[in-house]
Amino acid sequence: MILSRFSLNKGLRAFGGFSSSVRNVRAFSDDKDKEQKLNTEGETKDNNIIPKPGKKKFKKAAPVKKEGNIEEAIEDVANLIQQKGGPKKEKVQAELLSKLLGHINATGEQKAPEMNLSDLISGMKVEAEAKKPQSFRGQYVRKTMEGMKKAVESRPRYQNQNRRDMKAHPNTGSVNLFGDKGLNLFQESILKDVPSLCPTWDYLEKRDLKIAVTHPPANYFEEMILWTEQGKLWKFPINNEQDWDSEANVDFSEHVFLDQHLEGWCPTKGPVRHFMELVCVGLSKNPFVTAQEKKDHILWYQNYFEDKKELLEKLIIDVSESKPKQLDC
Amino acid sequence: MSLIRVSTTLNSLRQSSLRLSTVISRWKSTEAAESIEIPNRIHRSPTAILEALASTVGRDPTAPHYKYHDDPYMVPNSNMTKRTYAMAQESGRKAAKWIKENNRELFMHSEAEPPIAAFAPEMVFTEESEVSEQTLKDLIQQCEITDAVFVYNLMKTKGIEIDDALKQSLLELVCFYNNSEPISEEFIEERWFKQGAANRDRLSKSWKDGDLAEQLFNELPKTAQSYSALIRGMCKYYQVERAYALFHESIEKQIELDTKTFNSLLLVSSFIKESGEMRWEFCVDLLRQMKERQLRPDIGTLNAALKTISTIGHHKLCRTGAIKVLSEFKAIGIEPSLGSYCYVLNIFCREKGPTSHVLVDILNEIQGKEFQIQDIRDTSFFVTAMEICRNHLHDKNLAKKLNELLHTGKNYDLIGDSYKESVYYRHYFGLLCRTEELETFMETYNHLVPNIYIPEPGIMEEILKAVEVNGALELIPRLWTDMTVFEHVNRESLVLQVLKIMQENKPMLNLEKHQGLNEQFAKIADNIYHKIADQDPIKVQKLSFSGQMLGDIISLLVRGAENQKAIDVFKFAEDHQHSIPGTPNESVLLELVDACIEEKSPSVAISCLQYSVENNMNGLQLADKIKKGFTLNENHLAKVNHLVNEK
Repeated sequence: MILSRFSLNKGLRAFGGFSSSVRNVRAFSDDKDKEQKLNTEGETKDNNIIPKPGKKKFKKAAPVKKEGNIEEAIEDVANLIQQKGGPKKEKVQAELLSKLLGHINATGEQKAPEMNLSDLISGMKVEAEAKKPQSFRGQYVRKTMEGMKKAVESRPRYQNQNRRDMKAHPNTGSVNLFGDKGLNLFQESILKDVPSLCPTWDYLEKRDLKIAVTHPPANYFEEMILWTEQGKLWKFPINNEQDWDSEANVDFSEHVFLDQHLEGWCPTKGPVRHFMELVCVGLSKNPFVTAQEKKDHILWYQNYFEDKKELLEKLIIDVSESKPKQLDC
Repeated sequence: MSLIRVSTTLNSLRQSSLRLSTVISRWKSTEAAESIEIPNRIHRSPTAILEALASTVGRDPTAPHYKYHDDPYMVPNSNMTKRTYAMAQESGRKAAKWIKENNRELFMHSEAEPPIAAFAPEMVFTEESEVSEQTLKDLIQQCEITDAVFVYNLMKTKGIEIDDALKQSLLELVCFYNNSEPISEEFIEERWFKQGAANRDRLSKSWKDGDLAEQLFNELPKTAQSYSALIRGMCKYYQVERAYALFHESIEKQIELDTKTFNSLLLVSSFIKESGEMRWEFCVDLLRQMKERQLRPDIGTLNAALKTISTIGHHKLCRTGAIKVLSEFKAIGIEPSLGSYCYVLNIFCREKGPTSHVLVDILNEIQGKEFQIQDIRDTSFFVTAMEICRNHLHDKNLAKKLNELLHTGKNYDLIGDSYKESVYYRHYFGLLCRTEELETFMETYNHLVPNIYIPEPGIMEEILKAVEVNGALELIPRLWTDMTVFEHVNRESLVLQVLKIMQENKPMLNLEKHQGLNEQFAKIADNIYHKIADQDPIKVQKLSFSGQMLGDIISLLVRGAENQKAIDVFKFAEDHQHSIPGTPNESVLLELVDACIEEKSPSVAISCLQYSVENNMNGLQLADKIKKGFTLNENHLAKVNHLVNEK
């Protein structure tokens, strides 16, 4: 689907690396005194791994090198070894076969599960590098050494097994998650909402879920949220009566208009009235005591003046006799 | 970015006020009967404005996480330091708390009016404490289970009457926590790093038989409430047989249980029934019983049913079962949560089963949606899905889609914990590294590393492989720097791999980006050499040299024109040749001899030859080179000839 230039190049690179490894194998099979040659071959290998994008040579080369060709190359190499002989003939042959066949397997294996060509090619590259095929290679070589027959036997069995799996579970493609009739159990109409029997349990469950998504704060605002929830910060919008629960239902008028508490006992004029009005003004401006305390304060004066009534009356008369004018003011 | 967003908000506010004023003026001028609808006040929570502000701050990948000190020396560079620094801070918090609790008398003053409970030392209850029902109620509300149980016992000994509703509430608390203290809510950091480990050993029976919960249950009248609480508790802690027995008992007594109690039974049905088919039947049977009682199932029911299905081994049965259940719940308006999808993934994508592309359908369904947590399993969705992208489907586009979903709205909260987060990114990186172009992959790498994710050694290995395959040698110095910082250099496999890549792939000096690489490689090789040679002898897990390794180092040093250093390394190899397994390649020795020729030090070249002969290599080529490269004096010549002829 997305056969981009890059992914194509990558595939070509993979093939490039492969072809060089074939060449390398040839070099390896030569006698050891031709090591100079090996080195130069090694260098060409390096060059091949990183071809310049768009070099025509590789574009041409890649499609030709299909599996058939690879197998030919293997035969070619095998023949070469046959001719050259050498003391460790069998071992070399095994190594070579494992190397080459491993590549074929790596490429062949990738084809089945992949979706599009770009994935296929990139997957191929990785598989060729991954460790996993190594064990597969080892197995394969052992089988080759034991005799091709067994290998041929084991392969179709494996395929058969796969096919059986596929038959048992045909819906490997798109799944319609809600495409079934369902169990025909619940009907919207007859269901009723029953309140939960364990409110504390539900509260704890909710709390647990909340904790599960509370992660270390990622910025200062989140930290402030956390602190607000823990009760360490003022809540927004700022209210300086926050948490004054005892005063929550007390109207401001009860704090400010305190004259009402004078009615009924305080004289309408005179020094006591004067004094009590001053007390009320003072109290109405005090934010640090509750309305009830203010009322209690005033009522304390009521009792006080009640107790001292006789003394006061005497004093006031005395004063009014000596300085009548002052009192009138 | 946030500034821009705030200013755009301000702009839009200004515009709307303009619009309002034009509306008013039009209304005044025409005096038409246009009515203005004043919207109702929206009551916002105390944190609403903070949330709005926080949402304008994105994650800045160039900066370390907010929790770390804003100081270059305190920025964590590896997974180890990330954890250590965060936990250090947390233990500081714990120490402060400990001091507060142990020196209560110092903290009894209250600066604030009304006092702030969070700053005051916790209440300590003793035999003499004044307790009332209200105290117990508050303790239950705060989930202080140990204190609540103590106060309950105290009230009993003092003979204070406790009403049944409160007892029931306590029973629920005790059942929920199995009468043991949960991890404190306060230590977020500890939970963030701990949960991955804590969640693994949960699947065994841990219910405390005959404990307080059952005593409370016996004291209470046998109502639906008490049955529900006890069944839920037993199911949660896998006392399955007794929970099931209680369930039967309640049915016999015709006690009506509620949805959540049924859910908890559904959750453990895999423990009640052995085979897959029996589990499925049991599951359907429970759902039928719910229907008969006209109970409205909820998301918990769906997830519990899916969990049971996911434990069924039979592929076909569990697949059809899952789709049936999903459809059934969709029909009554219950949308699956992320947890449900996580179970669906478990059902469809089995390790040895056939490939399933159900994740594609799921993502199509939920793309762009924002999720709230509804089930504890919701936090496993992203990590499971990413694992499937990597190991099951090998699909990078799907992984990117998933990543996009993770970064939609507040979905990132559902990542789980630090363990799940790092596994998520491990799979994401592993997949991208295999399937992406190296250049595009490196963009992601630069974006996320090191502040959001630090690759584990396994992922680093994959990245190195990709670098080698792509011949992107210019990345090696950078990756080596990263590996040093991430504390990966103690991994022998990684060190070997880096050396091998540098040794086997010669930089192409005609490429501009490969300029100067030889020198840098030599530096890296020197760095590796000193790292291993100067190791602390007390260290337990030490790296050790191999001949191959030393060979690689020598050849890299020679290529980087650090001939003297190369000779030093060779001398080291020579001195320790009995303790170092393997030998450097002959080709490396050839390179070294070339360097000796350049340095005009024939004696080293000859000891090189001697080394190769002693280690059963063919010395002829070396000898040739030495003879050609130097004008040797008689002594040397005799030695060379002697060494070669010996063979």
